[in-house]
Amino acid sequence: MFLSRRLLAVADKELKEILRDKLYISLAFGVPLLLFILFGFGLTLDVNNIPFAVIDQNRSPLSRAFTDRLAHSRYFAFQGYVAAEKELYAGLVDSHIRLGLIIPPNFDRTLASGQASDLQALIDGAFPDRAAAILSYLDIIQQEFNRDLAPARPAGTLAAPYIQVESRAWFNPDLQSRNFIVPGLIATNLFFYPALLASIAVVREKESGAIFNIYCAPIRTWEYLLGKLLPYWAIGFLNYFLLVGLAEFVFHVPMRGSLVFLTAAAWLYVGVTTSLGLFISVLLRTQVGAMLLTTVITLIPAFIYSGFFISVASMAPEAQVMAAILPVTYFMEIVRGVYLKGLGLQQYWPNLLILMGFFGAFFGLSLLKLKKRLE
Amino acid sequence: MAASPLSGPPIIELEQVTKFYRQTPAVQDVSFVVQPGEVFGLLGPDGAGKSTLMQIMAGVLRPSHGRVRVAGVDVTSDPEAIKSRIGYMPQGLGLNLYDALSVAENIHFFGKLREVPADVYQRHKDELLATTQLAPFVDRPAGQLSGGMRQKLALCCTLIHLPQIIFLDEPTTGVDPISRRDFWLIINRLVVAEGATVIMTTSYLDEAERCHRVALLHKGRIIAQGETAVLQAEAGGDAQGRVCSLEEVFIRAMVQETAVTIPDPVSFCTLPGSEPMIQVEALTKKFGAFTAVDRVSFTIYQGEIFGFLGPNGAGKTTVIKMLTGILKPTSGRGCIAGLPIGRDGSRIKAHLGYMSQKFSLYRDLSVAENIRLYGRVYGMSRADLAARLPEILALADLVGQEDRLAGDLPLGIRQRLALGCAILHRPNVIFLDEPTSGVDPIARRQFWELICSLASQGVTIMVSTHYMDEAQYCQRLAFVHQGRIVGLGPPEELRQQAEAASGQHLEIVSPQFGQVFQALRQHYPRAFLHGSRIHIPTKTPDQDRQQITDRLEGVGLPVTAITITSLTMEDTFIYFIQEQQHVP
Repeated sequence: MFLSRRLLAVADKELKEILRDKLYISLAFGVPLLLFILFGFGLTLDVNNIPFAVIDQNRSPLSRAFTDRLAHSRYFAFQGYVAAEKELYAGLVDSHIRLGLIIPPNFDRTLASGQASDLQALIDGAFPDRAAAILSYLDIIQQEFNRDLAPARPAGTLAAPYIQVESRAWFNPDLQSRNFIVPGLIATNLFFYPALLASIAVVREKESGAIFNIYCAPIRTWEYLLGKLLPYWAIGFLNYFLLVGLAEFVFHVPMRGSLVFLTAAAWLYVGVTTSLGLFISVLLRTQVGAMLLTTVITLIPAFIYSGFFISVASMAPEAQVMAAILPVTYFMEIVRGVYLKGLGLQQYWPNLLILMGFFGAFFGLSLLKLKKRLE
Repeated sequence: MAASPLSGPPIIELEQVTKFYRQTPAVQDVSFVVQPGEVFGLLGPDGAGKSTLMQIMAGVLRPSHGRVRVAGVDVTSDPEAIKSRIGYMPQGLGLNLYDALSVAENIHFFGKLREVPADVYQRHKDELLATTQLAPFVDRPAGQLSGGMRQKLALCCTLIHLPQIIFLDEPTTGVDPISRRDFWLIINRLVVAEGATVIMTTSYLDEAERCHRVALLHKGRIIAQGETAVLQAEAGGDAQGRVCSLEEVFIRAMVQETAVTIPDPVSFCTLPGSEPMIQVEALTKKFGAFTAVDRVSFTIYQGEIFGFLGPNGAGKTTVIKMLTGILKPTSGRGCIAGLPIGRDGSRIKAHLGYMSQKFSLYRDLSVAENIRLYGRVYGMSRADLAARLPEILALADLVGQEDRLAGDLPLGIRQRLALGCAILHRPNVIFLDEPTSGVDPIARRQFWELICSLASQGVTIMVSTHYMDEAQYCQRLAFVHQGRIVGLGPPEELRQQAEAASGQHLEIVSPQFGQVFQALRQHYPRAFLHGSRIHIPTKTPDQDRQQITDRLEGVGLPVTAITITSLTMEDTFIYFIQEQQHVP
């Protein structure tokens, strides 16, 4: 009874149309693949291979040792020695280097005498987060350098800190931002793309006139809408498997929690985002309009407000309201919880309930807005 | 069973139906009834309100005021109650089809949607596919069908559940004559055999004579309605004593409404010169594997009105685009005023005027701005343009309305302005691509007057159309079908040629036309219904007339009259298509 013949007829017809549209079907899988790979590889919050140059006024074994240590760390990439400060400035201006070091003439003698030597570091501060990262990497390397140097010095000449703060990162011990970004991308992609795919479902028939077949037939609106929704839901769900596969086999992101739980949650979540697309499709009159609106209301908020970059807790109150009304926020918690912390149903059942609420709201609104008679 | 005479409680009743879109009235105060078992025609030009009324009756559009009852149900309050009993085919060539689905899959979807039981479905489907001659194409995707075939498929889909009440919105507009004939076979079979009621709209007034009753719609109001034959009789005959055409009925009704003067039917102006102006030899255009234009050859003489008659998709526009240099021919040759087409683009273009299908004016520009824009595009001098502007305004009947936006003009006037823009630079050859499509009959007649007056000034005119009745305005005519010219010559000669080969029609008028048709069909399988009259093609009219009289007397059926009628332009076209099909 639930799956009435008319509903199945609509779903079957829709699926055939989708599968035969070569362009649509290749976009349906090609675009999320492309987006995922682009963002997965390109979007990293780690700072690696920072290009730097050095003015070595000391030219001693010690000053060269310090430069070598920087050059051999994975954070920095040595671009060579320069003679004058203005060359450093020029390098910073044209982004050839991000860091310029000036080692003073009496560097080795000062250190040998047990005193602290000054070291001038010019950092490209255009992107504050990166500048902070450079500074802290520099700090770590300098501390290591100091520690290695300590036994060689006369005892008591340098107040070597005997309490060392050893920090260890939980959940993401390598502090690999990829392990954090890639699961996040699953949430944002599945917010944007299934909605976009479904956003043409009804509006396409409005444009062609085929919607009149439905208006004039004794089919109920829920049968029609659910029949429309199912094929897009299925495609979105297949997209989920594609993305999880990429995370596993291309990005090698470890999953600590249950794949079964994540899959079940993703099935619900894709239902929510597909029905959001369906609602937009019912609301608007042209395919172009529906696709634009869907892109605007899903793609950008998915990255900004979902907690993808910045955790929701540290957002401004207004932004937190935005986060609360977006389904992506709730799935973002689930997907990162499963991947990074190994959490599951026990922690995230409220999220699932909220997602169900979203589904009910979007599908219900679609039902309310789709009228079989024009005004 | 056809109820004849049509009586009893009506199956559709409209009482003072009005529909506003925002502030604009689309339909005002429309009342009519439709009896069960009749073919009812809503006639009128584009924008008359035909589709609006159809949608209101089918329960898919809410009227602003008025009452609509269909099959005893108040559609205004309970539209869903009628939906299992109706079939509705929206306007446009098969626009409600799913292009990616095959013919069979489309029909299957509609069968499922309507929950037609399997055995009934199979029977209907086989019947419909056979009548529409779509059976060989069941596996072809709908998107790859010709316009006529799409329309027939749309009809199959609409009829798969055998609805009692069938709404067809412009089912034959732009459809080829063979598909159109198949279409009427289906309609008449449904009405006669199943007792279905058909409500259809059309802008072809000649075709509308096949409806039992019609309502003429103009600017959202009904200006005349009644039985087709009665309306024609009331309007009186013409000078030759022939029955008045529905177009004439429409024009007279419009004159009463709007107090314009009746334009006389256009008759020939001057004879064309003997100087060839356009010469085309084996012109061919292929788009990939599809041949849009197939070895087309013709010559058009100076001052001639040459008609290109054919359905949508026949290749008319493609030929015109090749002649005007917009498209490059795949093969073949052509020249205009001695200059070969495809080369010397700018030299040729100075001789040409071109009015494209549907779009040729900027709707957001005013009348004068449009004219000036065209003038500048054709490189006219300021002084020349200033001199020409009043002439064009006079021609388009727009003197004093220079500042109106082109988009606000009625379609008929807008088309005249478009023609004015096309002839602004005084070309000696003009191409008009379906200039009268959707225009009301008076405006259409005025437009043809304009064309004739241009021809009499020595301008050579090539005009494409899908209105069969416009053939009479052309000195010579080419029937275009599937990219080929299947017949070429003066219209009357073509008609006589077809008549000599395929015979004339006997027209039988009877108050019980339904039974008469059933009785005669056994003996004359080619008999078909033409409105409430029966047509039988014959080569031996006198002999057959006697036979028919005898047969009907034998079974006791009354006959009012049996007359011999000549072939219509559509019959002629069909004859030439069928002739051509024997040629490889």
